[in-house]
Amino acid sequence: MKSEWEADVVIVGSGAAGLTAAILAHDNGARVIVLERTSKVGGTTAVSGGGIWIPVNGHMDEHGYHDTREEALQYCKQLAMGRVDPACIETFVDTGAIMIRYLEERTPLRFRSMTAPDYQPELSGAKLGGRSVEPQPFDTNVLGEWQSRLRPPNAFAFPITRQEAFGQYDAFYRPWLIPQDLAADRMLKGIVTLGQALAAGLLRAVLDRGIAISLETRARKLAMENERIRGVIATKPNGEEAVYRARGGVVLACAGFEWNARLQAQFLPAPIENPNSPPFNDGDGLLMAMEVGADLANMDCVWHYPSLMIPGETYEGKPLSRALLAERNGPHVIWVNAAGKRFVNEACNYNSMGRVLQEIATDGPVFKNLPAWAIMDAQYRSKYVLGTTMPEDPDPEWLIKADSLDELAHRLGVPASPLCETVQRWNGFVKTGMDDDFGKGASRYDRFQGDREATFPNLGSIEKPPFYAVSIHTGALGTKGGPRTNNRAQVISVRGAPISGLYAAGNVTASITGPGYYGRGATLGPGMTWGYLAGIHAAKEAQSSRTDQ
Amino acid sequence: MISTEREILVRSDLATVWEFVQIIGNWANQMPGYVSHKELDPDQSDWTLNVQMGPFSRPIVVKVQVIQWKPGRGADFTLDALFEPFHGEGSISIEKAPRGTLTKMHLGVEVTGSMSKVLTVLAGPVLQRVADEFSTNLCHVLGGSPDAIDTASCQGESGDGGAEHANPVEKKAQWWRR
Repeated sequence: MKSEWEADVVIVGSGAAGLTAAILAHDNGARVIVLERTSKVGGTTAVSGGGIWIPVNGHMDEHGYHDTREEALQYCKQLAMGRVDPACIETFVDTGAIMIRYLEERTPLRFRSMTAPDYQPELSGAKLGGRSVEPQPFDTNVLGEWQSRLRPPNAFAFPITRQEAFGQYDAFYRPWLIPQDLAADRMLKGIVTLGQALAAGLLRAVLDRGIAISLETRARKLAMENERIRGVIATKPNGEEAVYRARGGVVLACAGFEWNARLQAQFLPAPIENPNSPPFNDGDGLLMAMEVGADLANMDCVWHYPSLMIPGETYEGKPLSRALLAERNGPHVIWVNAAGKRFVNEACNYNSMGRVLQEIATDGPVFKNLPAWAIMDAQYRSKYVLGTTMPEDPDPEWLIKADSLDELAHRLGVPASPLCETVQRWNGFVKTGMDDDFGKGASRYDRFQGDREATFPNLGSIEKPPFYAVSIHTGALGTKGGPRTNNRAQVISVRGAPISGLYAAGNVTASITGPGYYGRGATLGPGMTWGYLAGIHAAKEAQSSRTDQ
Repeated sequence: MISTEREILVRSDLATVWEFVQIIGNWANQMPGYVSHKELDPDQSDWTLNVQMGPFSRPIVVKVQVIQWKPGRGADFTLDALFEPFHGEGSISIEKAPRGTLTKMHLGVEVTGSMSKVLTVLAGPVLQRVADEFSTNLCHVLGGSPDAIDTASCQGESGDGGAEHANPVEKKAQWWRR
């Protein structure tokens, strides 16, 4: 049995890119339907931090920051390393702030900027804050019957904003300092923050417009007629096939391919052990785009996120990867590889860190820095959160503990004397306040992420037993390679021309960031901006299609 | 401390129910998210349970210590999470009823530590769900409700309102356990 539906614009995916595209397509006169593979709305956005990196945005002055188009372009183009069409970067810089303003004027969402610096603040054109905005706490009761269809977070972050977390309450090191009455009150009232707030606000806007959302509808194939995309063929959980015809166009906004082992092996330089996204990002959009001749770019790139995995924890039935923050950036911690040696500035941004974990050794077919462990001591344990364990909690079973570094090395299976020498050398750096090997703490970014109460925010000795180790896992917020798009969010074919009727936005596309990572919200900023563009242009295409008829 | 109570009427007679209650592993098996249990002695055992909160799940280990056996009438016990910041107490009491055995359960949990306020909010709905599912499972294994046509119908009655009749504060929080 095959059912058939018709719309002007069909959106595949219900994350922020897809819902933004839906809103804009509707507001530009199109009849829109959103297809979502799972039974919940929000996609990867709903489990994310919800930060949106938007240069020259209207909220920067809330924290006294100022930005210019030229500075933003300079910064973004450096990070792209010549791998991205400059016109796309220019369009992003020119449109991002317009997109945010549009959503604030036409949806219940409200944003504020954060004091977080760009991830490479020493580059020219970088800013020390203000370019990342985040949604303000959102009351999910306004979603009515859709409240239960909002994707829940994966790691139970408490409902406080990121700016509250690091700006006011030091939550990444001492989560007990958050105002627990406020967090509890929000929980009890159904108020959400972070990516859930973003997804919820966009969902409310979609519902307000009467846009149809079809849950548990997995888009599998693009329908192409006369070199033009005419719709999507999807399957329902019962195996039923449904055809969604699109007069104006199809917008692919259905995430990356990080949960697809075959595509990972085919395109990535190293496997992602366990992604941090919902386990439904199987590369459906990538496969559909490839099938109709889309050009691909950035395929070796990942939004890296080295992670902690607590044995047995799962989300949607798959192992859960948790963020590593204090366990990476803080004092009293270093990371070592199987040789017992440090290999990176532990406080660098997580995307750069992930690339170091992909390095293959020159003298053998092994990853040079995997396995890897965070090494810390009793000073760390007594001061900071470790995974979900607070200082007063008993040591969890997954935490590797020893009374001496020799014994710790033995437990990890790494040679003892290099590990002891590494720690001794590190302790020497701590005395001078300078990490001469990898520069941990040298960047303003490192220090922002460090313990601001410590003498050196990122440097502290490792000398007080017991000693601890935590296994590091390669995670990913998503992949960032896929169909190449132009600055109208149209998918480009392998022959170089746009594929008529096909648009893409978000992690399904080749990211306009190239190999780089601008700052907090570098996935959502370009993703939502491309959703904005895709919605407008697909609606216009539908309009001209009607005129032609 | 947050607490809850359940009351179920089961078909099995008092002697059968008491025989069941005397073996601590029998209770463990009926816990939602049961993974395994290790009996250290007749009074003491460690239970590994997967705690579910919506699509999120996490294993916890709880030490269950019977502090008083009441022959033919039930047992009182304590709970201590080995790696999580909570402890608690509970009781099972049984009494002969016209068409079977009336089984009452009480379960109370106190979240401790520096994050106790927010974790208590999360724990409330979990406790209610655990009590609901435990009492339903217990009813099934003890022959079902005498009022039911078959043993599939085993809804425990909540002494404190339970999940469906939670107080307004708990009701508001229920979206957390989707």
